[in-house]
Amino acid sequence: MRGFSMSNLRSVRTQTVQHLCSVGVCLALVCGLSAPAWADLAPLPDARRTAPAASPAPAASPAPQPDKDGFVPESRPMNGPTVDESIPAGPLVATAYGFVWIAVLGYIVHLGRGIRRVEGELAELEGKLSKSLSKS
Amino acid sequence: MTEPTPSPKAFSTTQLLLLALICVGFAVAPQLIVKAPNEPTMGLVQRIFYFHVPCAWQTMIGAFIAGGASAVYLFRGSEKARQVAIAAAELAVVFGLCVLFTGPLWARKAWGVWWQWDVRLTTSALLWIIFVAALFAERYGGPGGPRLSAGLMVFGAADVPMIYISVSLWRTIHPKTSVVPTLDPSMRLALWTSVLTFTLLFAVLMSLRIRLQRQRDRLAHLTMRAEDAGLFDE
Repeated sequence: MRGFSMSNLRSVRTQTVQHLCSVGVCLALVCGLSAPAWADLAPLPDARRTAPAASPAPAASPAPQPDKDGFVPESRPMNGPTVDESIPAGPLVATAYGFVWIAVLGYIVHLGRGIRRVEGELAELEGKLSKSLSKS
Repeated sequence: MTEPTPSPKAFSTTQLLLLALICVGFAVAPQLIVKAPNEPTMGLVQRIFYFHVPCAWQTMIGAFIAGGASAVYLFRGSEKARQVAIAAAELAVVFGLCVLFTGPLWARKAWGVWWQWDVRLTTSALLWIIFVAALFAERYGGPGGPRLSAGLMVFGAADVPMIYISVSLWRTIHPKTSVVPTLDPSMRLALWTSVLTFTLLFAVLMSLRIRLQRQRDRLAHLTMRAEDAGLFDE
């Protein structure tokens, strides 16, 4: 049991929990900070309907030719009338990004709990073992 | 058996630096993703790409590391390799779950269906199932569990090249790997920022998971010692 005392374990455990909490807070903060960006990303489902009837058609620039294997940037403005939205893309995108965030944060919480539990059990066992060794 | 000594600090300086970079990455990536242009045929839903692809790459990296470490464990019996393999496999499962969840959301809009039994999709699902099975075998497989788990991980890692080349070898509706080099520069910047951030996140989570596994192994070792000393007989 070289260099491995109960107090050392407790301090490591406390530090780990504190750091994991700070990681969680940081990630939550990052989510919050990036929220305006996501708000900008939200689609405007009624854009087509609310567009003025007399608005000029998009400039007759040559449409981008999508490569059969690649993605091509759209030349039209982002929030203007875009592709057919019969299936709304916004909720799908939001769900996808939300799921990844929840999965990552959930895994961090799971890891933190695991480390805390195992280090707690280790400290307890260390204490018992050292007591029994001192008795014998 | 040598007893692993826990690091005196909860996080090393390198890990803290990586965490800071990850926070910066996750703050910057959404801005770049929003600024990236819409793709004309798929529109907004194509933006799932910027999280879907990095998660897929982390899955493949995790599977490769797990397979390699498992091979080392099988041939040399290295406990450290087993710990690395378990950590990498768990991360492959976590990121794989993200891939398998975000992919169908993209497909629903782009293809009109949630799922296709396409080669790329099927081999990806297979990889995830293999690694879930490997983790179950490791945890509940009894004395032979670790070796069975390692064998499964090697088998799963062999699926990674298959996933990568599947879109080039077979007719598939999944976008090809040639999409990435031909991306528009603003799309590319958003993608690479996400990839870098997810890779750093993978590294930090991997180091934490390895540490947890070491502590678990140490706990198991000490429990055996305590049982031998009759500590639980009282």
